[in-house]
Amino acid sequence: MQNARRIAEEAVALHKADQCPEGTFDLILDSSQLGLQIHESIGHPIELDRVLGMEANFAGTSFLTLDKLRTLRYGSEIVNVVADARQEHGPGLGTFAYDDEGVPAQCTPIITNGLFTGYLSSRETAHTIGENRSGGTLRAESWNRLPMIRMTNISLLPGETPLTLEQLVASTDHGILMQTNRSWSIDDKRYNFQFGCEIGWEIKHGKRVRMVKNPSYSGITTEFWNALDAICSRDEWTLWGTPNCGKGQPQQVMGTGHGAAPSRFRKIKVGSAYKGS
Amino acid sequence: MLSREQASDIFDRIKRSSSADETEVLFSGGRFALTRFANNTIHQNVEDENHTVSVRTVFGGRTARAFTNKFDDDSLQRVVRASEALAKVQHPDPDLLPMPDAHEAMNRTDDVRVPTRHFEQTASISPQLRANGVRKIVDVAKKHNLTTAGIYSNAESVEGIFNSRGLSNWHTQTLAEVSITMLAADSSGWQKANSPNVTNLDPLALAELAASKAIGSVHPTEIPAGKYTVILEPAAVLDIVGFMFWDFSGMAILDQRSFLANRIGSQLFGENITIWDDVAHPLQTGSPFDGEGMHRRRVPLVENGVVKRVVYARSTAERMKRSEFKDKVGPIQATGHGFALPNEMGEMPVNIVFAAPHNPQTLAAMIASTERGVLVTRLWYIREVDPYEKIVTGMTRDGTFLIENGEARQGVRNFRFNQSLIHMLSNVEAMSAPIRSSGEESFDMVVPAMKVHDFNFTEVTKF
Repeated sequence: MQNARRIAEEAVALHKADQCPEGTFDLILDSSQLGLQIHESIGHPIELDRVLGMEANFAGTSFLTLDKLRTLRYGSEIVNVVADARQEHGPGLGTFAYDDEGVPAQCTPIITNGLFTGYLSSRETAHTIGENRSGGTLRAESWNRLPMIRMTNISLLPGETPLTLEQLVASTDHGILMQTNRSWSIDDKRYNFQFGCEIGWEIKHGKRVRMVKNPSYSGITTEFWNALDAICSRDEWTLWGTPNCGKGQPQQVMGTGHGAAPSRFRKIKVGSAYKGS
Repeated sequence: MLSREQASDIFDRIKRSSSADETEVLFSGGRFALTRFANNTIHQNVEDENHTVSVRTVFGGRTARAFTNKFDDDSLQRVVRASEALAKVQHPDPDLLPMPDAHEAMNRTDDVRVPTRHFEQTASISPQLRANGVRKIVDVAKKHNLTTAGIYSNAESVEGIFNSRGLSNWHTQTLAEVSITMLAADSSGWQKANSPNVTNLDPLALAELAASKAIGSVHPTEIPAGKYTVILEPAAVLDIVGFMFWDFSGMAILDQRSFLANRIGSQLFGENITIWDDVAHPLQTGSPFDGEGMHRRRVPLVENGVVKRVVYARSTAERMKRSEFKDKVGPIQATGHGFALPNEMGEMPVNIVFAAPHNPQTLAAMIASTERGVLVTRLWYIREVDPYEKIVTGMTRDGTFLIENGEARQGVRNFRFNQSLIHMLSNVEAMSAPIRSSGEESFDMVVPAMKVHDFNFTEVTKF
């Protein structure tokens, strides 16, 4: 509730705000938008059933073919992502004690210092990546649907060096800060994405110089995560939830968790959502 | 399957238990079965049958709803008590109208004749028959050295509404559906179709067409993003235009969240665009009544590019007649498009039919007349970027071709688009005859293929 007045004032101010400029900028994402970015460009492509073609007709496949395990430089060296369903990760929408095959909740390293190190797996699929046990991610929406591989809590671990959002802004020469998702779209192999946010600020010489409306950014998954150069620390980290993740035929809707702290990505394409449309 | 007679008996038992001023009961459910395949083998077969009854009670302008799927006396009495308890703690709704009686619910729709949409041949499809269908699809894949994935499903469903003012409506329907993806090493093709009557489906032909798209688009080349003449197949058309029909709603105008605000009566699209909502169209599906039991009228939404009117639930129409917008929105009357009460969205058209163009062209003719353009089989992950200019973004998928000198010969890497629907429907150069079509981003419609100039591709992906 303490955010209500600020949100209302920002909504009014957006009416008079300038359109977000188009170009290449350093991009700072707040943790909620970054949570959805993780969901779409890491969480979905690491689903092993997608990789193996079982979702090809609807949700799609994945660019993360099996040869990329432990060989693909997914992100920069500070990128560490886990799939963690355990209670100690936090009370997320992907937190549970056992999955729907009875496999205990566990933590799987997905990206380790930038290297792609793990998929989301099940008892049926684990052997395809040389594992002798399931990663414990099989869940069904209800009694009348077959369980399938679903994201647990797919989280970007916070930076180890103390860093607040305001310090991150202060260390940015020219960039755009974007907050709160408004639109989201990604291709069926999870390469090309575009996100729109509710509000943005242009940053110059370490200061927010103006509010901008209709901010959007786009890119290619691996290029984007390799452009990450700063992650705020634990105090800024929040375990967000995506309550409406759709997958499967018949479609099943599931809640998933995504922890993130505000982060900065260098030289990202901004504003093409409004270009020439 | 729940019969009308059983439902009538359930309603009588509920009515006897209810102490409310008014009582309404909705029935929905049926039997649904789906066989899913991938990597050229069946990997899932599900079937379930379930019916729900939902009870809405009214006490002095306060209303609420409660559900159950148990039809014994104790359960029915419990759901009535739940509905009544919830209704009594609601705030009174000043816009809530008395429930319609049977006469009002007819809604002057004597000219609307909905054909039968229940076919025993569809209802009785067995797992074996679905498996045989999948075998034919897999055989096509193997013949072409492809891998296939998809579904074959069938359903039998009921919708019913009874209320304490004597209204009773009942609708039964079947639907069979096939969706097929064919995968090559670096390309893919897709087709999907459905119909209440399974004899209208031809899985073999769909499989061959999907295969031809996968084969025809192998080794896709990258061409730069930009504005292109595109030929959108019907599934691509419905998936993108579907994002505007929530706005053809009286409630959306009242809330000022419709892109049609201040635009009704204006020439918003090209003169070749005429769109109806027509539940009785022979290629449409669905029940002929809305969430209050009002029969659906045939509504002209767009005529020759001019937005003519929007649809209304009963209470929305009354609110609109009292509103500041009443002189700017065309005819105001309940059209039979309301959602079940209580709800926040009001209504929307759900039986979209694009009128046939004066000179329909085949897809082949559209391609042949295109010097340079892009043929789009299907769109994917479409989301709204700008609600008033109706800019939507999304990707092409499963069969995207470069057209040069009248031939679609070369597969190209998939594009991201950011496209205003207003501009798109103003740039339509040619259309095919409309067909019933089905996608994944919007609801099924009767739509043509469209040739559109200056379609706005903004990025290219890696495959």
